[in-house]
Amino acid sequence: MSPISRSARFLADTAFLLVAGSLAATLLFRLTPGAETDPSDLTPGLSSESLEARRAERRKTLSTTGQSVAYFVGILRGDFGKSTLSGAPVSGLMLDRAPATAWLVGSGALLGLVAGLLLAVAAVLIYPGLPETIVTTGFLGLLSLPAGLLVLAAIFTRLPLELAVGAAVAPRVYFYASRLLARQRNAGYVLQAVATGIGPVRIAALHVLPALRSELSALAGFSIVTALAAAIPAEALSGRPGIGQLAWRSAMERDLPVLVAVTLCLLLASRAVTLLSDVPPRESRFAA
Amino acid sequence: MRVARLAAMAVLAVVLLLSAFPALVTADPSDEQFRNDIDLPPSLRYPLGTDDLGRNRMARLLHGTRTSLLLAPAAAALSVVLACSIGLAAGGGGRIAVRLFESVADLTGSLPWLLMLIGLRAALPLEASPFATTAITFAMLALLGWAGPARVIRNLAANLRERDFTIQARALGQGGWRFSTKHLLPHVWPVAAAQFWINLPVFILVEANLGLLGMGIPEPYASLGNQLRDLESYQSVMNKPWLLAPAVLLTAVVSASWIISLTAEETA
Repeated sequence: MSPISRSARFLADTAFLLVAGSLAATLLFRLTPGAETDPSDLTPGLSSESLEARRAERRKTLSTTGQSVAYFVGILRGDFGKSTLSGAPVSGLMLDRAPATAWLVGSGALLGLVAGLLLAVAAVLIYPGLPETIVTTGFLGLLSLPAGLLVLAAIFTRLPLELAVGAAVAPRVYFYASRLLARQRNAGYVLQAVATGIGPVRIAALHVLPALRSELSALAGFSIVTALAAAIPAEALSGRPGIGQLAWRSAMERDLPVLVAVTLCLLLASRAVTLLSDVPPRESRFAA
Repeated sequence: MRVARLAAMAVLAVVLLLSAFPALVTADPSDEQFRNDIDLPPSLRYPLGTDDLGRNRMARLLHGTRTSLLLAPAAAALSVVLACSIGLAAGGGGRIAVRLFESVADLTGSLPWLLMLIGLRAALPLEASPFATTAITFAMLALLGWAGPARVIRNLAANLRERDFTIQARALGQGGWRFSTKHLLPHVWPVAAAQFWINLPVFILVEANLGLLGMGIPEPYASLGNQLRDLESYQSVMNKPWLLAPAVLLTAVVSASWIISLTAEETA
């Protein structure tokens, strides 16, 4: 695929996701049964007529098509409305917290990617056999823990939160990478390189990894998306003020505009990362 | 790998048996509060002690495991059925249908699951019953989980359509639903089963994360996820190491599911 058609596809995908994602997220939160319910309905002393009147008023606001269109147009302009709890602009709330989340996600993804990839190379290409089994078993255990438990373990042992996010990413990278590497290990040109006496580290660095450029790029994108998902429980459980914590608090307090905005932004971010990491495979010099 | 698969199946079978028949271990119901036995350490009657409300932790753990092991597979099965239907339909579609399928699958695959589920829980009515909340949570998981398996099944279906036997069948006039179920589905089935085993541990882990955030299966129901909430206090974990039992059981169940999914993928 040429760079122009790749760019066109990227733009088309982004436009589609922006519109469809906005629509889906808004519909989900506005049409669910709870959209008409508010914690203030539990105020003692409210008569059933008052309750019904309040609900009818909310229904009127929520279901108007014009309101929805205005909401979409606002989103396209970067205006996500105002928090129902604090009255602050949602975009401002997110921008304040974005750097902390970006750091957590970036460093966690990098740690997980490097650890998972290095251990996969070591286990599959350099020390196959027992070390591979031991590393695989360890990562299987790590893969079986929810990100929230990894975060609690990091908090209890006073380790950086970035390590917990990295630990959530690393096993996924390891299993994907080790499968790729095991396939590549049996490729004809690799076997030929082994037969000529080239060492395993050199084979990994010069023969195997460059041939997997496309897959490794996708893996880097996948690491960021996984770290993004792990950041939500990490920030919520540790109390670190980031977008994940904002989402969790807004969910607990039923602040729907904030929730919809955070969901949309994370959706677009993860989609953009996935599309940008979609690098075309390397052309083989030996292709017919 | 065969030994690992057998061991994983044995672990799952034992956990399933104990959670299906909790009376084998303890006769207490999961929600009964023994007001004179609050916050007790492990004993013969209460192998994992009691919680702040005097409920038998072992009974809650076994009932919670049953909830997770009943609903997560049900959601995984539903997502695979959805994936098969959509994947097979898209596999036989034209260029526009394929492009539409890819875009919708990409969109669904990019959705931040945890955030969607948190949002859904927040949007549910305050008076929603625990049963409805639980059912809706797992149904939402099934709706979110179809994209990955559907992509695999679509690619396989598109590939099968180029094979001689399917070309012959279509030349004989077979098409539509009958063609898909009679000629494609038998070949797609092993892959669909592998996708089920891949989704299963993912769903259990998502429910566990939701439970840790306090937005999973609501009380008084027990689940593997909401049993983990007791681990949030460092002091509690240090003073009562038996609180780690749900985490250990969760790790064992999910590890066993992963092993089965890895071997299922290889055989598919």
